[in-house]
Amino acid sequence: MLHFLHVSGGYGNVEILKDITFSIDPGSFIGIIGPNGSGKSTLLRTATKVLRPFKGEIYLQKKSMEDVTLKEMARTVAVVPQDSLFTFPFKVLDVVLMGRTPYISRLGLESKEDLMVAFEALECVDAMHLRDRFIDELSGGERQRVIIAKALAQKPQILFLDEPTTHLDISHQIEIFSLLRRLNKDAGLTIVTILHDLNLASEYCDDLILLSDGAIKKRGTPKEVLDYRTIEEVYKTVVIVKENPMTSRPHIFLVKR
Amino acid sequence: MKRVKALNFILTLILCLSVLSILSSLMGPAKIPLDQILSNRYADILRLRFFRIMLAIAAGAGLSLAGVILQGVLRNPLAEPYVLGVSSGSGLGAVIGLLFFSTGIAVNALAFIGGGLTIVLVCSLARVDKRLSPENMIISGILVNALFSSMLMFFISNSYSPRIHSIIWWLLGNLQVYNGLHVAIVAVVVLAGFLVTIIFSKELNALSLGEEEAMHLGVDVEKVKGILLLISALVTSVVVSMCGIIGFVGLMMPHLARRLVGPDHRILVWASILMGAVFLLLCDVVSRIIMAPRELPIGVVTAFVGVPFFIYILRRTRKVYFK
Repeated sequence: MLHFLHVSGGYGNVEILKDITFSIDPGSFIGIIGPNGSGKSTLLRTATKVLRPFKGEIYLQKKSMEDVTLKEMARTVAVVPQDSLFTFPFKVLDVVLMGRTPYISRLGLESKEDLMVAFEALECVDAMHLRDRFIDELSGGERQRVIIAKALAQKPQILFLDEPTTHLDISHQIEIFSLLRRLNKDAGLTIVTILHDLNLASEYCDDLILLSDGAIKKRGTPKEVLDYRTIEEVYKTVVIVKENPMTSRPHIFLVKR
Repeated sequence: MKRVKALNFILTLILCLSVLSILSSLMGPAKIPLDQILSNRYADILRLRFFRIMLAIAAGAGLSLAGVILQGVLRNPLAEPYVLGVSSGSGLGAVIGLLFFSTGIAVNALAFIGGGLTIVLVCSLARVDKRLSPENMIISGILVNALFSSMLMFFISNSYSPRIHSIIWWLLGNLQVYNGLHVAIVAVVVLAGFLVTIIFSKELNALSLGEEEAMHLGVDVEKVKGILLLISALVTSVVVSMCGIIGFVGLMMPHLARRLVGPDHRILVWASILMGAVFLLLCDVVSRIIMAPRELPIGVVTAFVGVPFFIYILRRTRKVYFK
């Protein structure tokens, strides 16, 4: 679905990603983890055509990224950022309808179908009751659900998320990730999310990509990637890794210095 | 439902504008009796008033258009047509024109060129990594504005030319025109700018989420920004070169319109330019009649009429009018 072949990239002249090669299969639930500055966000920006790679090839659905227009991109790939800024007080439904931007012609207004898609998306994230509220009046959790609805209104095949739960409490973190899990299992949506919380990554992702210094250090199941030696080496911190008795996935304990 | 209300609102504004235009043509220092309105005796006065009304409409619409574009593209509520230094650039051009070339179209042309060059300068200062960042643009605009304003003051303070009075009058804003061609130029540029902006209003909505998010929605951000900034620069320069510096309209009308119709640019752009036109026409009537036969500078009136009205709207509406 998405292939990186020996890609390096970054900002201006600064190379951050170094010779990255990986592919993402349809229907997977992938977590991208790694310390601050390891290139997670740069990887996401390169994969969504915000940044152009310096070297290497990227293929989206067997088409070279060079030939994919931004509009095509927006119909295939949607992105949920850490936190969205709203300059103007849009209503929730208007925000979700913005997800239809890549489908609406220049002068056209939204059709009935666009409205249906937006309602469906709101229903999906359980935010239908918020549709007439102002986006800047919602709580953090509600707002993030609306942003996910906007992304779903793009009818994407891949959903990228950049630390979608950083500003949320644990119950809202679980809520968002259960929603993503459901979208992945029921709708077959491919999910690629950047995560800081290794335990959240371990519980929800099937497949982890660990970045270190702009290169892929390890890729595999949570059990394979999250062993204490690798974590200690990459994060330069002492940790203890145990198994979660409920799910038997690895759980990381911090050790005080 | 929302669309119907928006359409009604737009139609109401158009109606207001028409009624106000007719009323405005009958008002002024020279009284025209209604029964003699078509007689030749008053044809010249009526023609001048017609030019003036058209210029007020075009200038009000143009300044609001530039304001709504800049607030959307720069994502800054304080953005207004002069934020990128067009006013002082045009002012400098006009002063040079007045001091060295006498009056007439040369002054307007130099004012336009001054405004245009200022935008080019600001954009080239703000360009980093082939990208125009809104923050850089605002800072560059402030810097260039300060530089050109001081040069403007230098010329004014060191000149003993009798023409200097007219530059001050020009800086305060002035809608009097004697040449239909001048009006037509402003009207055509504003109309063209408006039509292009309508085409890009969906992109303006996406841009208000941030540039990266707009890209994720399939918007070619740098291209759209370039086109829209160019329009705002052209429109502002042409308005300033004909009418001088008329403050308040470009800053406040988009805000007011947003309060009334909401932030969707597909409606907001229409509402802003119509409200700008109505507002400036109204202010022009006030400026002509309140101290008749003397005339107040239009820039004085816009703030005097506009501020209380704006405060009233701010206090009455919570956020938007449409539900």
